[in-house]
Amino acid sequence: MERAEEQRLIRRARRGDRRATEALIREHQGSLYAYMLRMTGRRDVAEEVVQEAFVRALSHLDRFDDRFRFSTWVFTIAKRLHVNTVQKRAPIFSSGAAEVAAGWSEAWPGEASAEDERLGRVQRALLRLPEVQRSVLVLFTQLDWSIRRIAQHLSLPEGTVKSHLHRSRARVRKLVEEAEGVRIEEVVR
Amino acid sequence: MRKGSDKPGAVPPELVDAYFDGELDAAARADFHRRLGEDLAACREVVETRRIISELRAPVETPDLTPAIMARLHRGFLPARVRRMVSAGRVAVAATLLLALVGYGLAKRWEPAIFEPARTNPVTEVVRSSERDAAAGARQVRGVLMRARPGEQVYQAAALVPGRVVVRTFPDGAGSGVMPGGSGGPDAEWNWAAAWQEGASSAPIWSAEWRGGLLRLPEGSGSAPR
Repeated sequence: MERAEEQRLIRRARRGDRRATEALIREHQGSLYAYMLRMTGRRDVAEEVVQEAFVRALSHLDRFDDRFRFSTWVFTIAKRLHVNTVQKRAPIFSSGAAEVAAGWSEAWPGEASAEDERLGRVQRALLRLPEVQRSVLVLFTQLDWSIRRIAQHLSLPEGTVKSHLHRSRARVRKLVEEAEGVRIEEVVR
Repeated sequence: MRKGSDKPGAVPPELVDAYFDGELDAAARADFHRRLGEDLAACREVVETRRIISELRAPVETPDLTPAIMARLHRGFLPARVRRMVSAGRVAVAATLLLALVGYGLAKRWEPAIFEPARTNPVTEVVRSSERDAAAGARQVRGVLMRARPGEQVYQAAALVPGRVVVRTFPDGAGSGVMPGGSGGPDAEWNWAAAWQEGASSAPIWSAEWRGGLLRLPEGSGSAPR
């Protein structure tokens, strides 16, 4: 969506225009949901966070700074909500090296089960990355955000974002290889 | 670091990262692809990374959350103009409450009697009436003394008040009834006067000092001058 069109929608939504509000949701819910699904590995949590993020953003449109994109704002709200959710709930998979080292199982009994089956091997590897690396990899690879935009979103220097991106790619590749026992020669052939 | 990446002719990991970061132009990409053909380990890495990226970019089935979000918004949704009005209303209510509170505090300080519960005890009423009469008498005596000159018989002034207040001067003999002056002079230490309700022996209900030829009456009553 063009910036001018987005700003028109925001102005209308501020005045209580229902259609404009719906248009804003429809425009951004897909990317936000995909991001949150990759971040959480759970559809229910992703839905919950996306809904809450939109409700908060649209209820306080008068606080929205027009210099920024609406997507950046709603993603920032979702990120904070996700952090809060993670602090309250146990994730399906451990997401840090420390947790892996502590001997936590890859799948959490009773919680992973059915949902875990639907998750791909890449998703499982993704969930074992530290939060910030996962976020950088998903935003860059899945949502095509630029390094600069990710840096602004995460309040990190661009060099740090690049470093996280490189490490996360290497780590996911390693985890996937380990999980599958892939013989690289076969892949190449 | 990939094994063998330090061998001569090997593709450096930084170049692989730059390739996936999208930082290579067309010529650099062509050169990169050529070099991959000579570095099997780098080629494997690139193939596997591409596969992972491809999975990450796979479309995600997204439920339409619009109705649920709109329903939640509708419950608490107000247009900005209405929200501003509500906010302004809240401020007005808060300001009114604050003003009322301040007014109550000031009124209680200045006119405490307004907030005292009505006393219907007849004994209390009699005492209060007596106090009111005494205060009125004291005011009259005070008025007379304001006009009195040294040496005048203050009892005359007291006599104007029908029997409720006795005026004394000190230390020229309690109850002498003579205003200070003459040999003592206006600055003598005994230059003060006080009034008591008749029959009472406790604190005076009024007191005054004689200074510079004028009787200075302090605000209020009940305290002897020091």
